[in-house]
Amino acid sequence: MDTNVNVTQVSSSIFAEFLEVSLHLILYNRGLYPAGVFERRRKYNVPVQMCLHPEVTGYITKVIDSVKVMVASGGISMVTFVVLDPAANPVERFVFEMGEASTEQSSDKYLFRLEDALRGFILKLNVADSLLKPLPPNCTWVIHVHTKESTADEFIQARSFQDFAWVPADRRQTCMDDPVLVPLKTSDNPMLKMQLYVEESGRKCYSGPND
Amino acid sequence: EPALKYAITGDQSVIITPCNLPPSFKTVENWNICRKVYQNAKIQA
Repeated sequence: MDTNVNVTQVSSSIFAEFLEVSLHLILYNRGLYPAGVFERRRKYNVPVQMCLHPEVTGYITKVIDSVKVMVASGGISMVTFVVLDPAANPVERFVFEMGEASTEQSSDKYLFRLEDALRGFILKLNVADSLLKPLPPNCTWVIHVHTKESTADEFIQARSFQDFAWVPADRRQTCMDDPVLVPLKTSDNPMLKMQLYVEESGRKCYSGPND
Repeated sequence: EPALKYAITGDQSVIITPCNLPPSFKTVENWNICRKVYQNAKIQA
């Protein structure tokens, strides 16, 4: 077995793979796209929903490729999936907060415990829907990456991502009114230290079609 | 010079986002309707 495996590269790939599945799942669970465009698949031994629309999958792939590079450089603190109402105000924010990478030797040689943790995250994302209020109609979504200026500058100027440019986020989209925090899950696996929670705007007024 | 800039101002936190927006609900919904029409036509043919 090759012992010279770059742990940062491996953990960034694992995070990228997990993030991709999570984004598809949030899009399905929060009804941001019609349920008919999703297909049921299996990941980490749990059923997940993946979008079939080529532009959506292409967009998510480009986001994930970019995030993977930034995570590998070690400059990311958070990745957030922000749901915006029709007026472009944030109403929900799924936060993937990353801890500092550990240098300690992991006893989880075959990553079984890491897989268990990721399975837990996916299951929690599946039930998060029941903990949140319904979204207003015609919502959109964006991805925000919280990083250091040096990492952002280095990434924005990289030639490999010229066709998928990143810009500083609009301040209006990064500030939420009266946020309510819904913690979902934490993992302290040395390979991937991560915390997942949802911030829900207290001003989300739509209470569903039956009310 | 970036290194000089960060030495003077500090390496501040920043939030970045893709310049392109994801496809809208309407675009995806229309695609899904067309897909279903195409699949039905293929079955009937």
